[in-house]
Amino acid sequence: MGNDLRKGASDKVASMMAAEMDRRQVFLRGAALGAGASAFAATLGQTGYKASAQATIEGMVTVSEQQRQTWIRNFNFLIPGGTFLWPTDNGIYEPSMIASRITGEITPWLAESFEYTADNLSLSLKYRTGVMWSDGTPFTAGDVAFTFNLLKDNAGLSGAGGLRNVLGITSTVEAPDDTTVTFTFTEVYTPGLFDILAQNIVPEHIWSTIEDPVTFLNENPVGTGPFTEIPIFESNYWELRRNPNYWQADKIGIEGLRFPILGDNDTAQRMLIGGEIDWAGNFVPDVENIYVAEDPENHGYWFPSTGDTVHLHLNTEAPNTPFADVNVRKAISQAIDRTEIVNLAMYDYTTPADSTGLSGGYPDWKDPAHAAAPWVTMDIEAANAALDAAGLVLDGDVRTFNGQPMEFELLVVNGWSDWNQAVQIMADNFAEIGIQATVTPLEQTVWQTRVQTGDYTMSIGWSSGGVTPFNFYRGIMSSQTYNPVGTSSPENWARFVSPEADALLDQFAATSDLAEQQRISSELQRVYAEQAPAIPLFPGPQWYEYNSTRFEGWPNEENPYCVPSTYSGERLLLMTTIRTKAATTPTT
Amino acid sequence: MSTTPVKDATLTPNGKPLLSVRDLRVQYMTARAPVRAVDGVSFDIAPGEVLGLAGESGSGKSTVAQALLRILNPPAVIAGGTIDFQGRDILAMSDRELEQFRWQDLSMVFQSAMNALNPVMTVEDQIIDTILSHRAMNETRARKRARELFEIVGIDPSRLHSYPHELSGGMRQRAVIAIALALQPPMMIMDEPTTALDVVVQKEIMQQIEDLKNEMGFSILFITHDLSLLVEVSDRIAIMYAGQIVELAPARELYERPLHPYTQGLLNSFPALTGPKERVTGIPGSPPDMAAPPSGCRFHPRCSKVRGFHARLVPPLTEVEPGHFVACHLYTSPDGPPDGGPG
Amino acid sequence: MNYILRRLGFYFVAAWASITLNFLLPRLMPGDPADAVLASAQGRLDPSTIAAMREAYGLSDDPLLVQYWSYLQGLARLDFGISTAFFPSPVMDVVQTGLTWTLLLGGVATIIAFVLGTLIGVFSAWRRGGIVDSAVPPLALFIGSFPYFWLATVVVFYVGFRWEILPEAYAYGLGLSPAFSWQFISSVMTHLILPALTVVLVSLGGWILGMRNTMVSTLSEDYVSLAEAKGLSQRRVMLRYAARNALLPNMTSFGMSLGFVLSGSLITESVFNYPGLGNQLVQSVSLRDFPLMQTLFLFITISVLAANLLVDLLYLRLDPRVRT
Ligand SMILES: Nc1ncnc2c1ncn2[C@@H]1O[C@H](COP(=O)(O)OP(=O)(O)OP(=O)(O)O)[C@@H](O)[C@H]1O
Ligand SMILES: [Mg+2]
Repeated sequence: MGNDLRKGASDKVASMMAAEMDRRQVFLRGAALGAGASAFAATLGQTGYKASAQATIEGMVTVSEQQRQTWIRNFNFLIPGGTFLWPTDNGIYEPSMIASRITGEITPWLAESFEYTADNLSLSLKYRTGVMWSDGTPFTAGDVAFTFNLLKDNAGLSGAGGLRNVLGITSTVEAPDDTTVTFTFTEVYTPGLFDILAQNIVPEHIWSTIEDPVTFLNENPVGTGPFTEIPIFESNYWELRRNPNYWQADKIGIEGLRFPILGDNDTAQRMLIGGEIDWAGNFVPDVENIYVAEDPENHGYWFPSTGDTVHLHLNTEAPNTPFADVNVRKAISQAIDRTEIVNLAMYDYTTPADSTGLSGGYPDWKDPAHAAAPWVTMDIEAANAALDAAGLVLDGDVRTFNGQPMEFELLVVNGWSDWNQAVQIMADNFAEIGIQATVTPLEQTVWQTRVQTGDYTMSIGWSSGGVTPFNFYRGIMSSQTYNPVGTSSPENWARFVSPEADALLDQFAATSDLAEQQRISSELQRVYAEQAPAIPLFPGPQWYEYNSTRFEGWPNEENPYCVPSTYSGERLLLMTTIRTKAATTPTT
Repeated sequence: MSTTPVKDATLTPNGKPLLSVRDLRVQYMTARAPVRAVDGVSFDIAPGEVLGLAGESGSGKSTVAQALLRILNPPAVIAGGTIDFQGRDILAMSDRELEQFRWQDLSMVFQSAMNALNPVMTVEDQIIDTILSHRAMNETRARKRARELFEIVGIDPSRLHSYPHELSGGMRQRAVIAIALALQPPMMIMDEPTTALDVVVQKEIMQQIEDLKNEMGFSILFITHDLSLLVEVSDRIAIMYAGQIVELAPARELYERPLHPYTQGLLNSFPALTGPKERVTGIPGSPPDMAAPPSGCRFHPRCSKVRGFHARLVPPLTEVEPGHFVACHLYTSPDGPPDGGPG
Repeated sequence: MNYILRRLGFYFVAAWASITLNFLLPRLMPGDPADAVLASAQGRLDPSTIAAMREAYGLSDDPLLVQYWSYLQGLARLDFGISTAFFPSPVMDVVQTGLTWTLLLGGVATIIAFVLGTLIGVFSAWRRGGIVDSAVPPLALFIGSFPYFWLATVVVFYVGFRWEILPEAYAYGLGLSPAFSWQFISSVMTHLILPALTVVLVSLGGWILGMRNTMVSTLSEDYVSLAEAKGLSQRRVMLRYAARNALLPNMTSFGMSLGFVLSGSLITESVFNYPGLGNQLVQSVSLRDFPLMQTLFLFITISVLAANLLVDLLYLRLDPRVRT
């Protein structure tokens, strides 16, 4: 299913949703049949998803984000694994600044500015005055320094993105005064800036008293965010209402957010279609017909391709494979029918990847000069010619390498139907160039272990991402992410190292000059386009549906002010922009 | 020697009968073919009389008993005949009348006391629910009556609170008799009341029945295949074979002068209750398949004195001597078919 | 009382065995919960973070016996460890939110189906070939032959979603908090109707058939004939003599059904988005929340044992023959 693409690291419900697939089919078919019957609608009882009988929910945005069977109070967003409630980070708590992957803009938030010293070994951030915690205590730079030191001192806490890498080279974080925070580093690593900016800040006066922050549930969160108050919390429903002390109160146009339990994707989809959800981050098949057509006026969606690019990884160190040969890799890439993959596996919700490997999340970085290399366009003839030239002679239907037939397993995660469909198409494509790929679905944990330890030849998989292309290229062709076969490697599953890319990445990390970084990024794209370290398939779309019956100001293709998905790190921009429609009659 | 057809005969020795059964037919409607378990049975029972009903296993004795109380289970249906009890037609009774009639007028001691008692109720409850459903009596009185009944049948009343499985076989049988006595009906059916018991207990219980009968004067339809036992207790004895009564006579008479070859066979197969032990001969062959009984005289395949026409003609139950009825060609047409056809 | 002591002994041993298995199995399997979280975080966790998490999960390298002892102590306090999907919430906090609802839905549905099915079965057998007997059991079996999932989905879709006659999701209205108020209780009841109804519909046929069969054979027992012969009322013969005895063999299946209430309402809860343990089980499997999964399995095992114990006690009450 498409859901796994939705939100890289924290999406664990994907395999469960796969099981729901059949059910959804049944349901959707029922929906088509039942349209006429709705005329009989009776209102004898309060239906399941209908509003609370007690409190008014006017101005409350109903959100479909987490799919859980029960709500458990947990607002500790510093623990790893994404087990806390949404939107604890970038909602109840706030970051220093918000870098948008769609506009490329950096919006100052708690911090107003940042500045590196000339040697890039020290970074100082200037924070706003007048910001208050929701309990009325003033926010200061001391809270910021406390947060980073808390993370540094507790290995069991995870930070935003690659922050733990940054903390590893951070010697001190200090707050010389109430508005300044100074980082000093043991080595130069400027891409870490974005991890620092994205880190949400916790209040020192609360968290300094917590004995073990790793097992802290933070049941009554005190944050600086726009929504912090929890008047009702039941296992089937909770509400998050306005922070009475919010520092940008003028930007808040809604009363808060509400969260009915949505056990699975099917339920979420049903509610969405029924118009009971205002903001969703769900995968919906055939969204135009299923969702928009129900109410074309108000039902909208937008799936920007800003997620990480899905790749076909070829293990360059697998025994008896010719994948170390760049021409072979490119030939394999040329055999792939990306249009069909995008069309069948992805419902045309995204586009074929280009030869930079970068998704749509790098508007200011992508260099068109390197985007159109021929090896990402399907050309079976050229592919066969290249393989012939590489000395992989056909023996019957299958080519041989070193006398061995080119018959490989093509790994995929069991139940992730979009990936499964994609590898099926590729396996068919490869047959046309004399490579026999056997699709091998594996349990996620098993698959994970095999690709990470290099126990595979071909596998579909994700790639890394970030505000700049640095993480992406570092994760796919750097010696820093390289681990030999047998050693677990969180990134660089192809075991590919380009000395040229290494040098460029070092340069990139050593400068804080944006123009310089962009120039280096162009070079990295050139290297990628030349080397094809992995085979890019398509950028991951971000799921986002909205309903403008009750609220307005939603981002969409015409007004793309942020990546709009519920799980996007830019969601604070959306939350502080949408507002209740003036003429709205009270919701049901 | 008169040959009065059965329908006109007075099957009671004298006076007005208590129960009068005429041409009773019961069939088990099995999937294969109807099993004619009772096929034209007629008899009378006078007040205070003990009528013994004997016959091989499967001859239809219990079916007759159940028909009298109309407690036949599906697939049995009463296919014909009349049952007259003190002028009332049992077969025509409504459910209400039937509920009234049962036990009040006719009670029954079941064949197997083990299965006749509800395993999940105390014996006392099974006695008093009988009393309470027929008599306007409060529970305390009913309990008192239960104690009396237990004393009458010779069980320690402290055992009233026992469940059936807690009683010995003899006690269970006595309890069943106590239940049958509960309403002091004018007539009781006893369907092999002692078969499952050992000889000593059997004797005790028979004695008890005798005493009770003498004391209370009820009629009994006493069913058993043990003829020697019957001779002791019965006034008259009816012999059943394959759903029909083949011989009916005063007990002594039947014992001493059995006419029907089947009766003779039966008598031979049992050692006398008293007297010297004789060799048990039994009857050759096995009981007929009642779904397709033999034509003519039903006994003819097993009869040592069979003649050709016996297979074609049904011998009517005929009074060959005063009070002695038999259905056998040997007595009604000893010389050949009555129409003089070939033998 | 010998009987009950023997049974209690048996249940004690069975419970102990399942508790011990529950302890041993995960420890005999390769990997530990930290690995599961590691997988779900797509391998991007820092090794030091993993180490710290292992500690937080309470995974220790103590000798097995020491671990076993503290595991038993934990059980005594109803401490089943920490859920990985809801880390760092204790498993029990998660289970608690679903336990009541599963017991309510499963219990109510099973009891209604059993009672109703039994009554219909008794009556059908009593009036064999009558109107009820020729219509109801075949109809119930026909409905019961529908795939449950399909039936439930249709009910959710039409009755709940399109026609909005009754709620098709949740255990009670959103925004309500549990309270001893008419509003809350009536909300719970209306939310119970559809899921319970579907369960009753599909399971009714089985109960009817089971009861009808034992009833038919009981009806030919002598004690039923005797009861009839005694001139007792039809009702008394049917209920006190026939049904009362015919019920006994069905009590065992009833006990099994009750025991499987915790695991049996999996599809119901999922279709009706009912917040019970079945849903939690599905979720814990898909999220690889091993501590939660194990606890749920333990609960299921214990509930099966408890239900059987209950049936044994009921037998003791219903069947005087087992008392001695
Ligand atoms: N439910 C039934 N279905 C079919 N045939 C039956 C059924 N019950 C009894 N019969 C048949 O009816 C005939 C008479 O049975 P019944 O029980 O009246 O015999 P019985 O003389 O009482 O035998 P026993 O001495 O063994 O008690 C038998 O041939 C038996 O096979
Ligand atoms: Mg009999």
